[in-house]
This record gives sequence, C-alpha cells and structure tokens, in this order.
Amino acid sequence: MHNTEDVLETYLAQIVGGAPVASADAGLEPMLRVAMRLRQVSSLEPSPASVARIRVALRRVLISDTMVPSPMPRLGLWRRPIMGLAFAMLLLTLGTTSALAAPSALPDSPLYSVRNWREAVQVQLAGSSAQRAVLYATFAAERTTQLHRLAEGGAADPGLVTTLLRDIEDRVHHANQAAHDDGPAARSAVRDLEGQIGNQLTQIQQQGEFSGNAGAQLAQTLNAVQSGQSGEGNSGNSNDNQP
Amino acid sequence: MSISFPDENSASRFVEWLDRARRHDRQAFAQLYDATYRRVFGYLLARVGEQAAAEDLLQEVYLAALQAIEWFRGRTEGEFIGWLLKIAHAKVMDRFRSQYRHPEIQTGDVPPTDVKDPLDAIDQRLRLDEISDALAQLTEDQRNVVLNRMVLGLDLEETSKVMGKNVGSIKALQHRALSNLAKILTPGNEDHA
Repeated sequence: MHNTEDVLETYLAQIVGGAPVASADAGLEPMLRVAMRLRQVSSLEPSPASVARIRVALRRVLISDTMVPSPMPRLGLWRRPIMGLAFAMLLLTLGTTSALAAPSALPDSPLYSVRNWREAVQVQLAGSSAQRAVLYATFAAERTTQLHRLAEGGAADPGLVTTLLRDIEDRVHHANQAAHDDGPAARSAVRDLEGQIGNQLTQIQQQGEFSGNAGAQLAQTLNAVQSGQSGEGNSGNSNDNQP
Repeated sequence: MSISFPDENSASRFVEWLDRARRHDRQAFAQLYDATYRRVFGYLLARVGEQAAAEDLLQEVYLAALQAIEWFRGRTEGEFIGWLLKIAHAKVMDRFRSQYRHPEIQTGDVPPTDVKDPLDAIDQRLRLDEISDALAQLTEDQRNVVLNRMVLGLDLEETSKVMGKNVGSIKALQHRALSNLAKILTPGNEDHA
C-alpha cells in the first residue's frame, strides 16, 4: 500500500505543478481523473463584476467604520425622550417610504419622486464626503442595472430611458465631486463603481436598442462616466436633478 | 500553514498590509483581498458547487474578516489564508444548515470560464455539482486533504503542517479520499466509505 501511495503522490505533485500526466496504471487512473478535475476548480475565478462588487462593499464598510462623529452638544435629560421619539418617527418614515419606493421604481412611476426623495435623505444623513460619494455612485449603478434590464427586454419608452440616463449622469457627476472633496480612497471606490456602470452602458450601446434622443443621451452619459473614471469628471455638467 | 513566498520582499509586504489592515487601513485590506480571494473562492466553489453561491459567500467571508481583523494574530500569508478558510468553512456550514431548514431548487450555475466547447461547459457544470456533493460525503480529514492539495495547491509538507499530521498520514489520507471520490463519482459504484 505504501508504494501505491508514493506513486499516487508522484502523480499528484505533477498535477499540482501543472505538468501533464502521460500515463498511469489502471488502478490509479480514476483517482487521477478526480484529482485533475479538482485541480481545475482552482483555476475558476469569481466574475470580475463580483470581485469589484466585494471590493466596493469592503470600502463602504471601512468608510463607515472610520467615520469621525461630528461633535454634538450634550442633551439635557428632559430632551432625550423627545429626540428619541423624533428619531423613531424618522426611522418609521424612512422605513415606510423604503417599502413604498423600492429601488425598482422607474421614472414613469409615481413612486420615482419618492425614490429620489429617499435618496436625498440618505445623502443628507451621510456623515462624510466619502459616504456621499459612494451613495451617489451606488444610486447611479442601480439605475444602470435597471436600464440594462430594460434594454434586454426591448421596447422601452425613449422618454423613460432618457430620464434614467440623465439621472445616472447626474449622480455620477455628484459622486465625483464628493469623492474629490474626500480623498484617494473615496475616488478609488467611486471609480470601481463607475467601471461597472461604464461596462454596462457599453454593453447597452453595443446592443443598439436605443436610437434618437435616447441613443444620443446614452453616448453622452457613457462619455461622462468614462471621464469620471479617468479623473476628468469633477467639472462636468450637472442638470441639478440630484437628490 | 506555510504557503511559500516567491521572495522575502513579498513576505514583508504582506506583514505590512496585515499590520495596516489591523489599524483599519482601507487600502491595506483591499491589498489582502486582492492577494487571497482566488484561493478562498476555489475552496468555496469546491464546497458549494455553484458559482453565484460561492461569490456571495466570498463577500461574506471578507466582510466577516474585516470585522475581526484586529483580533487576528497571524503574521504570514499562509496563516491569513488559514484563518480565512476557517471563516469560509463556518459560512459554508451556515449555508448548508440554512438550506436544510429552507430547501430550495439548486440551479447549478455555469461558471464563466473560457471553455470553448459547449459540451465541455455542460460537462464542467455537472461535475462541479457532483464534486461538491461527493466532497460532502467524505470525512472531514479526507475532504480537507484533497482541498488543501488539489484546490489550494499546497504540497505534501505544507498540507502536513496545516493539518497537524505527519506526511505518511497525509499520503494515506489522500489515497483514501481520492479512492472514495473516484468510487462516488463513478456511476453504479456505491461501495464507498
């Protein structure tokens, strides 16, 4: 048995080292097939989008962890219950609104304005420029994913597409501005998201689903996103439609 | 665990990233992630047999690692990966327990590899599911030995250190593990143990 184990080890070392296994005795062949199949698993990688998504998620956690709390005046005892009540009402309002205005609300839905308002509140509550930058970029990325789905579904309303594209461009612009105010880490996080947005917009453009005004707006938005990625997007245009 | 480094510089660079990450340095943790995610992903993929699930778990592993990095006391890449794999193992077990409580249909997503022939892709999809199911039927030591050797690419000595067993035991374990896997993965062969 020891000899068989040694022979098997010789072949396994070859497989791990990437060397071809020319021939093996019949008894070991099924084991070596399994070993080679397992070795192939190690060559599989997560999708680039997923790698980038995790990188952004990690930065977001880090940014919120390292946020310095703003100095707040100490509240008297009698004020605390009132502040608690106000905070609970705010949470209730945000929670209810979130349920009503799910991120899937599109510009042709009456809930889209509620979505914009909810995003504006989130931006206002953000504790730093870095958090604001990531929020803006995330809102743009969510809309881009929706646009991608619309393009795949076909027959999307051009007006809806144009509004969505303008809003993406606007949020990318604000993300770049906020990231510029913060520093390299925030810029890097925003660039990751812009990379995903740019890839999706390029795919949409290649599908050729949108023409006319929608097609022109698509080209303009893509250009704005790519400018942002290359660090030129801090002085881009804004239609002041931001949350 | 003692995964070897190509040179001294990369080893000292890794120690520096670890030190900085413990002090909540964003870039340093991102460097640790970039240096290690492929191996952690390989482990997760082999365990769950599904690309999308492995990607979700990969995020959970690194978010958990980020929360706990200041308590990690290791100094090398090998120790860091060993620590990540412990977290990964816990996440996989949580997932299995959750599936047991809330069973759902498994789709067996095709991993996006550069497979040229569609038949190869189908073959790979089936075997990925099969492999993770077969691994689940091994003893823990048998499963760990094949994952360390074939998926993480550790050599015999490294596997021996990681698992705290002598080289002879590792050889015997991997022989039994691969023999059992071959029997499980061969249709009509049920006499594995």
